Amino acid sequence: MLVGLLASLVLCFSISARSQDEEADQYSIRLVKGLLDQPEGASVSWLDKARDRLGDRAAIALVKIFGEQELLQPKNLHRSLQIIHGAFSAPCLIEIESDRKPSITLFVLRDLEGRVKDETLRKEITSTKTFVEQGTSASCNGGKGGS
Amino acid sequence: MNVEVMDTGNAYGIKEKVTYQIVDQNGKAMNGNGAKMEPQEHVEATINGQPVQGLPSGYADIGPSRVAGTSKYANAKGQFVDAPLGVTYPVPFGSVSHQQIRIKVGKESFAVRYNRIVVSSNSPGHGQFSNQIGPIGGDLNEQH
Repeated sequence: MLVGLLASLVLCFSISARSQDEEADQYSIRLVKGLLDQPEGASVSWLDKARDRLGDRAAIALVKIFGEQELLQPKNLHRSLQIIHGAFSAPCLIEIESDRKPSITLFVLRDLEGRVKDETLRKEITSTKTFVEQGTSASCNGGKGGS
Repeated sequence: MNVEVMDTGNAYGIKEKVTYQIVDQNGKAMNGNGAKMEPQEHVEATINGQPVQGLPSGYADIGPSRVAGTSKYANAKGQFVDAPLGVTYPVPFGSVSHQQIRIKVGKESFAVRYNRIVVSSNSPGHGQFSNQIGPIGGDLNEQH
């Protein structure tokens, strides 16, 4: 239910200074669908670079793509966790500063953690949550990553 | 231009780290004269004949990425790094990508290069990378 509520709430978020195309897909749903479309273990450099710049938007897109029950399906959940992991692997690369703060992501992960029955999947959620929390605790000094 | 093959472990395919030098019409290195030069790319790709969905619909910044040396802007010498560049896959595959590169300076953009990149692999830990259409300033052909 929380995930469903969240899908409605995220509509209220606004992201400024985006191109027209990006505004039409401000939650990067196209990109996240594209990532899900690839087989597990595939790595297309241009998709990966775009994913690494998502941060919190990845979780918003996943909530919008999957229905509440669909997200709980093991295969969908596993792939979703991989995408979230990638989206926070290099927090300083995240394009929009507010997306570096994983507020929606942690909200979703905590909700899923409380509802998933499978112990292995729950551990995977907990591990992703810890990874996101630890990775985003460091400062980027307001700049972007890379040297 | 400098091309290095990146370590992609035992995956099928190949990725490169390419360092470009931005030059003027006379082939002289450009430093932007203090203006920031922002390399951007627009890419369309297929893998095993199927279009790759979700790629940015417009131009996106080439850098930064997780790879050291990448950045949003070209450096003071007019050089920039495009990495990672390529595809790895869990099974044998063939891919064709069309990469258009432009340099954005202020509100203006200048098309500087087009790569038709073909990446393929038939065995794990190996891959071939070629850009089949003659580009400006050299080729990216590599294999491992």
